Amino acid sequence: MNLSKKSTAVLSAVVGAAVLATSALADALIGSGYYSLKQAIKTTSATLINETDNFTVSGKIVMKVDGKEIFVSEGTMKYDIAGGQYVEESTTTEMDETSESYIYNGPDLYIHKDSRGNNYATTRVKGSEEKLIEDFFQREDVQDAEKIVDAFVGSMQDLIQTDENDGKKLYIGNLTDTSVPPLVNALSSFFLKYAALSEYTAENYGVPHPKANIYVQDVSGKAVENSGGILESLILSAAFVGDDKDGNSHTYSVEISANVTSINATAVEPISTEGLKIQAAAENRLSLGKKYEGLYKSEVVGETADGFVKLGEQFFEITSVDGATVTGRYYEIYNPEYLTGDGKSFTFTTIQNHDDWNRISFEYADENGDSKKGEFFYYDAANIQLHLYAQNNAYGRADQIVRTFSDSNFARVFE
Amino acid sequence: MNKLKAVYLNEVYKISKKKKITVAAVLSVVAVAVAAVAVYLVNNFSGIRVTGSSELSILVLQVMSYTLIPLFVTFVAVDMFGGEFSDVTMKITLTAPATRLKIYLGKILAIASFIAANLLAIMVLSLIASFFVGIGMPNVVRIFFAYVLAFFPLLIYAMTVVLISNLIRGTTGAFMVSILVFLLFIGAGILFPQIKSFLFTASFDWYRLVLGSFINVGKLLRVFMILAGYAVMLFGCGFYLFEKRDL
Repeated sequence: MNLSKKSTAVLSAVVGAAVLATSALADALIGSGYYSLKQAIKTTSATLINETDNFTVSGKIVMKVDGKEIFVSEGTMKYDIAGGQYVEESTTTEMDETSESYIYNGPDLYIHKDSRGNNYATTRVKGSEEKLIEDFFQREDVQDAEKIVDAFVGSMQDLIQTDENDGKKLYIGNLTDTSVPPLVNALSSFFLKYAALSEYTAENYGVPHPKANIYVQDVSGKAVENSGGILESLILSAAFVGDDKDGNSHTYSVEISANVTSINATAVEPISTEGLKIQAAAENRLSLGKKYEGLYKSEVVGETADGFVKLGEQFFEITSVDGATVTGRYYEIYNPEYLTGDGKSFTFTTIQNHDDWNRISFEYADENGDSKKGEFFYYDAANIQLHLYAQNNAYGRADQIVRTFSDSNFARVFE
Repeated sequence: MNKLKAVYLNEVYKISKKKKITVAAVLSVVAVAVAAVAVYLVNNFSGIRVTGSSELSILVLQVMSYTLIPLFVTFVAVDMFGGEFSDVTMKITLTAPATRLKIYLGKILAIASFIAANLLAIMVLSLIASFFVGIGMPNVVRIFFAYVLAFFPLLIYAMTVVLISNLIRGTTGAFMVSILVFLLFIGAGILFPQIKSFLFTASFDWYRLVLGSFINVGKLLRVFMILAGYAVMLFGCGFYLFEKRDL
């Protein structure tokens, strides 16, 4: 059978398209180890948080310089999702000093052991509204960051290989100095030199500071996914090479490992509080208590050609805290020598939200009757930080005033 | 075969006489020099080796394969088809004692030679620059394989430009559409990663697959088949349009 040139061209185009479509489809279906691993991490997070009653996560971080350990931290976190409690125990060794930390967080009890002082501070809390643990991958900012990371990873995603054995899926990845993209290499080397092992930190640890010729020597990782789609173990390691100020080459490495164990077989029990000082929380450890009722003041200062003068005062008063309901007022008093006009004043009533920690938001009506938003933060030393949005400058300026200073920090008035 | 060789040599000679080739050569030297100086300065001032242990050549390839090489491939491919149709010199080419298939094939081979020569020049220049920058002994074998792999997706892009040049009359239009297609393919790969396997631009850095300690042979084969499918399809479509095009 003789085909014309045009028929041959069309036939080759069809055959080419078929080869392309088949191969591309196969490639898309097989996917990359990177996407499988990413999906396994998401599945692990969602399953542990939403579909299990309890589980244990243990982890370890080791930093080494030329093979010598300079920082080791290992810990175990036991989560009881159904019971709304967790226990976190960790041991950290740095600069040959070892410290331990213990935290228990339950619906009615919070126990904390200071990592340095060996003192337990325990507090009874009333029905905390905190969520024990949240699915990190459901957050909008994380989802956006994921897209950026996907684009950043690029062809490196194909360097993660997968293997299956005994119903478990194994992920292995290894990047050598030649396969690390320049941008990743530059950013991580920069992080090592100026953050992780800065000159100050290196001196504290008594190790040589990486000064020149820094690059990523090796990055490797291994993860195991069980038949239920949960990543039960993860090991990551990275090694950098750099020269110190004398030109001697050193190897800086970090190893991270994590394991998920005892799924639906973890018991969370707080340590005995016998002999410990129990500090009772007045209402809820996250809420604004009645002790914050009172007057707070901030001074307004003006700069003249000769110096500084007091122009007036801003007052913020929390008039009552009744459970979740907070009422208060704000007003200003001017020094008539410098300022004219009425100062701003308003009252507000709001409901505090326990999830906002030490922040209270409120709405108030300005001098025109328009609704404006404001918020204040309350701190341990009876201080308030007040932010009024769309604030107008209520302090008209006298001619001799060059600049006016007022800030958002209000101190408690005790007299 | 002799006729194909004659057509090919003729096309290579025509390419070598274009001023754009001189510009491409000069810009390639400048790009390698700029990369070498930048790597040297960053290492000297901040102590960070941008290129890792030794591979300045890979850094240069990464930049050039997405910028200057596709740009000059577009110039050359558009000139060889759209340009010759516009200034009617295609008529002289077609009077040669060779079939249109041989002429078409000869032109594609000439463009392929241009890409290969461009990559070879950049590789040699960057290897030489590596010694001056003083970042150690480069892994020449690995770099050579990376440059060989980088050739294939660039050839597919050249064949896409040839197809566009046979579809659109006028060199400016063909040039603009080619660049637009290139950018659209790259953008689609970033925005819709699930369709990346279907885009030849996603394989522009597939040479990275041979740079790690683990070589994903399966992935290499799949990408090769995708590029082969593209090559056969684009050759068929391009020749069909070239064959039926009137002068």
